[in-house]
Amino acid sequence: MKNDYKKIAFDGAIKNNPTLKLVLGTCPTLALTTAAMNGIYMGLAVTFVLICSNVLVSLLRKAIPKEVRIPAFVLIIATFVTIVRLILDYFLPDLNDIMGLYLPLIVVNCIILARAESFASKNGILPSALDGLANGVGFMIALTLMGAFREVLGRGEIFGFKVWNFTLDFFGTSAGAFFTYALFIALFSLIYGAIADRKKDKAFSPVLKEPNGEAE
Amino acid sequence: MRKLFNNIWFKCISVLLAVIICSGGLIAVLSDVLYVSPEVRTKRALIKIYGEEKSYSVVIDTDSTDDAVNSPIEYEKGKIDKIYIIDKENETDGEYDFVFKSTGYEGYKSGNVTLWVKVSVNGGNRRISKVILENYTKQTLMSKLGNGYYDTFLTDVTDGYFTADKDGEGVKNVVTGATKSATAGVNAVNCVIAYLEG
Repeated sequence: MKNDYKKIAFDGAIKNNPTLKLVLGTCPTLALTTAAMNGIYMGLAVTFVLICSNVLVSLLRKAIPKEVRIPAFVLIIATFVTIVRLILDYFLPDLNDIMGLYLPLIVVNCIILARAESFASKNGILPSALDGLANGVGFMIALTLMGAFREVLGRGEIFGFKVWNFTLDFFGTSAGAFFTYALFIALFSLIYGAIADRKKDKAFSPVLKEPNGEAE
Repeated sequence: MRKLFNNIWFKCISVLLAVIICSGGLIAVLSDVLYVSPEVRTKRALIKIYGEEKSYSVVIDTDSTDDAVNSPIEYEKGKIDKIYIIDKENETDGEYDFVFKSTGYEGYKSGNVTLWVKVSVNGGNRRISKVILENYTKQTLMSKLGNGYYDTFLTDVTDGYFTADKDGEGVKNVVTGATKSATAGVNAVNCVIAYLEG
């Protein structure tokens, strides 16, 4: 059981990272990664919606007929996104302004719908909540790293603090967003692929034995 | 009757209705609890402009229940919803500010842009000293316009009207680029100038 939870957490956050491996939720990834802080804000909002919608979908999984599961999931997700908007507008209006159009767009974020459909509708409440948390954290990590990269190169800042005076305006543009995204996907694939290959080699390395029975 | 209850479509519609009613009820309650009143929004806008809370007197406020001040001032390409005079009671040497909430029409895809415009009055001089965005409709690129766009409006009111038409003559020009997203913002500021000139 403990291993199952570990696997869910590892799969959601790293192995099947929704942004860098599955290439889901591309719209906010490209639009909001101009600064590292934006990635954290968006990541937190998506994590909250993911956990809540996964828990509710898991709770209602036996009650929702499969013919209407998608509209039901969208309604549930839209409810939580509206709640996030109301809370932000009341307590953090500046943050609400920064996230602007991309906050309501969480409703149609493929990551949330995909997790509801492929995981929460088939699993219990606790694993579903953990899956939501892991995927949300994975999304947040990817957005924050990309945001930090673009912020450092595009504005010479990190989390709003000046690092150097050298700037490349390209990284603040839409083309820079696509370039950064491609670079991070390539890096992720390279690093993850190398680690997986290493594990594979270790698992299948032949153990040569000497005639007297001792391992070489 | 039993047949109806066992029908899959009946189940589908019932479940969707139940989800809609529960979601709607929850959102209705939260909307009421987390309601942000127009007064609070005005305070937030003034904090954005001045960096601190300011006392103000109302000239026009469309959210007010007082009939004497709650009519907007309409123009052909925009309207003014709110006019406040800031710190008039602390006025020394004829210096005080007007703050306008103004909406410009005819933007990109017929959208509107609402701006807060601060006009500093110093004796006979009236100068637009700050412009910030309140909200917009249909013009998704507005969030991409940087401070440079709003800073182009910081001129004396007597300098005349702005235009977003690159061929416009005899007026101050604000052209942002490929789209016409500047038009509604320009119309919003022009409403303020029209009010002060008129």
